[in-house]
Amino acid sequence: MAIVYFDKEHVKIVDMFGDGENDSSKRIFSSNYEFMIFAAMVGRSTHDSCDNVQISKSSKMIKEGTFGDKQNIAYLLALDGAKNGEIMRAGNENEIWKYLESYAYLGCEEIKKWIADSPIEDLHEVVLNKIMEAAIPLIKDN
Amino acid sequence: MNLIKLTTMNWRNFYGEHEIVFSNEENKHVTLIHGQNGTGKTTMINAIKWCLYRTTPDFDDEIKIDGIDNVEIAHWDTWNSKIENGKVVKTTPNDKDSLFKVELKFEHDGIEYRATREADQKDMRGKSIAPGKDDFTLFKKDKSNSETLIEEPQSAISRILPAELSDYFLFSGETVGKILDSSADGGNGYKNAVRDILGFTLSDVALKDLDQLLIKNTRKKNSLIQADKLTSTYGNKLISLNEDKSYINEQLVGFKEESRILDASYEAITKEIAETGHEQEKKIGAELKQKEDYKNKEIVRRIGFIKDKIDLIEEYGFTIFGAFLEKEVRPLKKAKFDGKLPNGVIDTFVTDLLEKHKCICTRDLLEKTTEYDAVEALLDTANTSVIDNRLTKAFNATAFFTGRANKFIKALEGVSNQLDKSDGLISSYTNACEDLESALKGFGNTNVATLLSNKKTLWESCNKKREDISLKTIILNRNKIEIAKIESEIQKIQTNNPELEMRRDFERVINVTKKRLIFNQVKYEKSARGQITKTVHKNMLEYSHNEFTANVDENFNVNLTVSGTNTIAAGAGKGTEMLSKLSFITALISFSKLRKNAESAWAAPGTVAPFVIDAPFSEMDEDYQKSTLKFLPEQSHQLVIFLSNGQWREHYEEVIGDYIGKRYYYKNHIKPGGNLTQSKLPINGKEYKVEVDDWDKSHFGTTIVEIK
Repeated sequence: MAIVYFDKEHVKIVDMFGDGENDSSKRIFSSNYEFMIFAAMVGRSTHDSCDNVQISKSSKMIKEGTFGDKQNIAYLLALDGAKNGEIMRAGNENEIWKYLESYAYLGCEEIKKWIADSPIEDLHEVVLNKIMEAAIPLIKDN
Repeated sequence: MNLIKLTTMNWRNFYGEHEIVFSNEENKHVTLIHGQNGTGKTTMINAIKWCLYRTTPDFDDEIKIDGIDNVEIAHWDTWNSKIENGKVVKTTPNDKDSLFKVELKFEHDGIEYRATREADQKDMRGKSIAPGKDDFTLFKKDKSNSETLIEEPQSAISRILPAELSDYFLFSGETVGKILDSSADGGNGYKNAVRDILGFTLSDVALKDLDQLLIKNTRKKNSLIQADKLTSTYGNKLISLNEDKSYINEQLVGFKEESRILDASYEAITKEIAETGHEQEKKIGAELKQKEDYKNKEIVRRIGFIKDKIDLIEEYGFTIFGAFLEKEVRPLKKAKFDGKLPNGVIDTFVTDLLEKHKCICTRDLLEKTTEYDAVEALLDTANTSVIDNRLTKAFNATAFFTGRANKFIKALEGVSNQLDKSDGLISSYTNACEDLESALKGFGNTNVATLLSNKKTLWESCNKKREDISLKTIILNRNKIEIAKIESEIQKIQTNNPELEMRRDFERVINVTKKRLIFNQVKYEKSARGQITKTVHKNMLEYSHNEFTANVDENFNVNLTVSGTNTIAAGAGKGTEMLSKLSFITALISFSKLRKNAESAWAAPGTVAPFVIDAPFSEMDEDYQKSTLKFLPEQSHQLVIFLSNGQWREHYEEVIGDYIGKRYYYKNHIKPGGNLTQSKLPINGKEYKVEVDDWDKSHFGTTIVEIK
């Protein structure tokens, strides 16, 4: 079973977004794995490759099984990255999940920039604005 | 705990001796007591409370600040009267009539107990008996049926059903809303009481113990670091930072307690304003309190809307940022569809050929031949079910993405509109409160003006205290980060000190244990909340008149919500609100009963006690009343209901009749010259006279009559 890690540099940001926030009414993601999925997608949207990412493992680790249905996203990122179905072969788990881990790293870096650049104090508003920016070009007329 | 029998002597309007035997029969576990309003329904619940805990909460209103000081329980001077020429005349009071007594027989864990409290009216001081003047005894029956006196009766009662939990089992109508109002006591008391009923506070105690161990261990560890030349500078810093941490933690505990008291005082002063001055002032005061209540409810709703808004991030964020991936993997999807991903050969097909030793070209595939090896090599690149499954999952993931942007924007607009409306309402309530306060000041009543001024000061103090808490929390977090940094630096220095290593290991063990305890607490509490909510949902779905249901939040607040969402409902009506609250209480009691025999290492078994209620039906319509009478017996193990005659309908018999094991009604003996209303109570085709004009020495006040 594969295990993915957040980088040591991102422990604070994971605490801010994930289960580090004790007040659940203010918690942005219900769990760290949900935040990792989000961060990975942000990372993938800003980078075409994650080949050069080197993770310095922190104590914030997540086991593959924890992701439940969201494992699909890890497979999607791996397929997109490898552009070949071979990567899905049994025994390649570490390679598959490496994509999620690396893109999450790049996503965390991007999110750090959002926070630093934004004049808005509320973290959730910063993120919602960014999602809105990404959503507008995707809108289809009903 | 199960109630067996309540016996009262000279208790309030029940002169002489009266008794209620409670039903304990399986499936006939309801004891129903019918009574007119103001004839002593709550009085009997208070008799139980007074007997067990020496508390009589509803007597507050009778105490006059400057006038009569003492509540009359025995009514001994009233009882000593006689009729002369058709009029009531007082006689010399008889000393023995000033004694009053309540005896409660109950069963707990298979043992029968008899609790008795007695006192003398002459020893009443305000609403209580003068200290040391009442006599409380508790006996338990052993197997041979003989009674043994329990040495410390009050402690024994606390172990069976602690006083602070009794409010959740012994209800008088108006207290239902009050005890379920978590804001009334700053939140923690209520939450902890509910957790206590469920048995979840045991691990709190363990966590406190672990914290103490951790503090001691940290002190010793830091002393060792300080004593070592290589790390002494860090040791000094750590000791100083840990001292600051302990000090700030202590301050925070104090601030939180002060904040809780301030909030409670603010609530009390708002209530006092609504009850001070002449009629017009009281009316405006009540309106002010109502507007403040609305405002506070709207603030809670607003928090819910913000949470709904935050939840959109998790629900839509990844799909929107990843939407373009659908296009990226489309060629791969087509390749899979065409059987070219990873290639057209399937492992099961290859295995089949190898097992049959026959190729599709009909040639033999004998082991250790070139042909066999060539076919076997195909397995390295053949498609497998694992690959197929993972590819399907990857492509399915993109199915999440279609149309999500539109849905996200629609949902964001929806919740933003709700937030705007909520902001508008909060602002209008704030303005209304300011106007009402001005109107109140306009009357020139100095008492009201003082109260308003005090309220303003309290409000400022409440805010100041919240700011203090927030500031101290920030400082504490910085302090923790600083400690973590220094400890990380120390780790890099090799000190070779086995004792220090042992301290570090011990610290790790404590932290892991704490983490596990907290994990279990969160997990089991979440599960308990889930199951309680499920029962509440079931009741609301079945009985609510509107589309509202109710959710139970982390603080065990029961909130009416719009079905299928977490949005807090507004304007649901008091009947629906009461239905949800009663539903929550019965669900809580029912779940606690399930936990009675729990053998978990981290939590204590749940509390089991009868549900005694003075039915709060005045705010409910007939449908809700009938529904309540249906689900209460279904979800309680022993139920005692005091029900107002005016709220009894014969067709309620259909839902509760089969559960009734014991039934009584109050008969009121009207004094000469009193108003005889000729009220009758219809039950199962019979009519019972609830008022009679047979007032004499042996028929005073109210008597209790069993309906067989």
